[in-house]
Amino acid sequence: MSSGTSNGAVEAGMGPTLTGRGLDKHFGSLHVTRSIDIGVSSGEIHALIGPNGAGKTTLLAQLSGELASDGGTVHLNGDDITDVDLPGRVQLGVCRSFQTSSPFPDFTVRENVLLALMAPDPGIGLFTRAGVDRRRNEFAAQLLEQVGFRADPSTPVTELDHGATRQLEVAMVLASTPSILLLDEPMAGLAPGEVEGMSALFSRLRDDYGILLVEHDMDVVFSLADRVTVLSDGEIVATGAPAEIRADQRVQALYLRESDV
Amino acid sequence: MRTVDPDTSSARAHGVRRASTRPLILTAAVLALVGLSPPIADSLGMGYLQGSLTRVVILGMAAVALDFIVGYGGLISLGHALFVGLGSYTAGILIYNLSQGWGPGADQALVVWPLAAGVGALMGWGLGALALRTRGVYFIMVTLAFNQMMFFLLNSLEAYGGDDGVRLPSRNRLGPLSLDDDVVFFYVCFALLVLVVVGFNLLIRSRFGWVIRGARDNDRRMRAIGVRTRRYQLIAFVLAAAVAALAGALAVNESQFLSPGISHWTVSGELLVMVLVGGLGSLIGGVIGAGVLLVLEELAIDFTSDWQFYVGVGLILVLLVARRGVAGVILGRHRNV
Repeated sequence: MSSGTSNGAVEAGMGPTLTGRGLDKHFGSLHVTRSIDIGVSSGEIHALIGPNGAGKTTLLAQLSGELASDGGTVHLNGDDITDVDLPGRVQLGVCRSFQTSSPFPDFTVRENVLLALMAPDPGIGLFTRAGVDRRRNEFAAQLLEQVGFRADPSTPVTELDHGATRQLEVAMVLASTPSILLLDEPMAGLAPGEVEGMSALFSRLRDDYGILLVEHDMDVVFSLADRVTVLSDGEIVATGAPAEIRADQRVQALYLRESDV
Repeated sequence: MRTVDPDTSSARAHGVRRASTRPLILTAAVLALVGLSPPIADSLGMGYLQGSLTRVVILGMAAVALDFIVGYGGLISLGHALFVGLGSYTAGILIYNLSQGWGPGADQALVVWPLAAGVGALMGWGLGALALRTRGVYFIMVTLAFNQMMFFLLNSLEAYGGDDGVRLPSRNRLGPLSLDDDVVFFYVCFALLVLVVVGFNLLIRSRFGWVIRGARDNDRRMRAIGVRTRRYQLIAFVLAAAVAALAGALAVNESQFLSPGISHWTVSGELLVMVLVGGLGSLIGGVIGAGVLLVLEELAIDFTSDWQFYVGVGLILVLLVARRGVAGVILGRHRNV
């Protein structure tokens, strides 16, 4: 491991912290993540960058509980949650978004947010009529406003444009009342103006959440992130403040050589 | 609680497929037509259709339950007849035992029918827990395999006629009602059908229903917002199994003949065809499909012994032009939730 800064530095801070240690994942003979240490704490945006196939999405899946790791542990605020499954981790406050937009097509925008809001309710709700709770509806409207969603919330999600869909994705993640957000390329495919709006949103969210952000847009990464981790071939090449990463020779050689940074 | 309904109003403005009251009107209309069918048939001098009408109600009930898990839950089961057969044998064995004076027997509908549904639910729980470890085409194959296991198990019950089955001396008894009267029996079945249709319509609008509908389209995403979807799907499967078993208990009463044929996998296939013809994901489509198929069968059988061929051709045509079946044609963009 040749990381620039210790991961422990930020963990000592206040607020919820998600930590992965020695995370390993094989797909057959393919070693996708190799003994990765990574952490994110409330109050920071930790950007995860790296070339395609570096293992970023796999790492996110391991942290979120979607993929069981072949080795390593995941801790939330010091508690071992390695064996907690994906829904369980969401209930504990670790929530992920997806690279590909995937709201529930059978529902409207508001109903999608309501679905995420009602997910932690106890029981299975055989006798609970869905979508009519006034407070929930108001909260859903607030969340949509918070992410800058401007269209009619009663629009079926299949009719949304890409930018609005990405906003809905963030609103749905926030609806799970998480403390840690794992965001997989939330700005993929957005127009420049939309990227700006989304960046401003994440900047505001930073105070209340710990955000692990997989992102390709280097301008966004370097303007937004408090910390950057560079992943390549399943290994961490460097971790550090944006300025350090910019200056890092290995990172430039590996990842930034074609970029204008 | 519900002061305004901006959902539907803006949906109309957008002209998109959205929930509206039209599916419920169609549901009520179909149920009314089915409910009035005995006097109508009678006045047309087709009273001989009474048995077929009762079968439409009973198979429609099983098909509505199947549509619940296939159309709303995305769980394509080819094992639905397993539960119909199980309910049929639960009721049939109890009636037969009583008439023979050996073993446990019962003929009270209020005991036998809930028991049949309960046995169906229990079996649905066990088999569903196993089958739900798979998805997609594997789920279809596993439910099909379970279906055939049940078929051969019922075939081997020599005490109840093996593959020949046995004739039952009477129907269940239900208080002062004489179920041996075909019209009375029809209306008892019809009342239960109405309960089942209303029940499932409430369910798809409940939190439970939202979860299984969401999981149908994106199971992974549903888990990523914190829902353990398999529990919900298992309960949906159990509910469908219980209703199928109840339909089985009614079916054996209708025919007064206990036979393993009702649990053959082709019956599962026919129920699925009813759902598809009537309209997948509409609930009432199950009843429409049962009606269309049984009436077609009744009519076609007079003209040709190859009626199944023509029904097959018709089915292909229906699904080519109207993928959402009869209900889809009537409702257009409007859907039952």
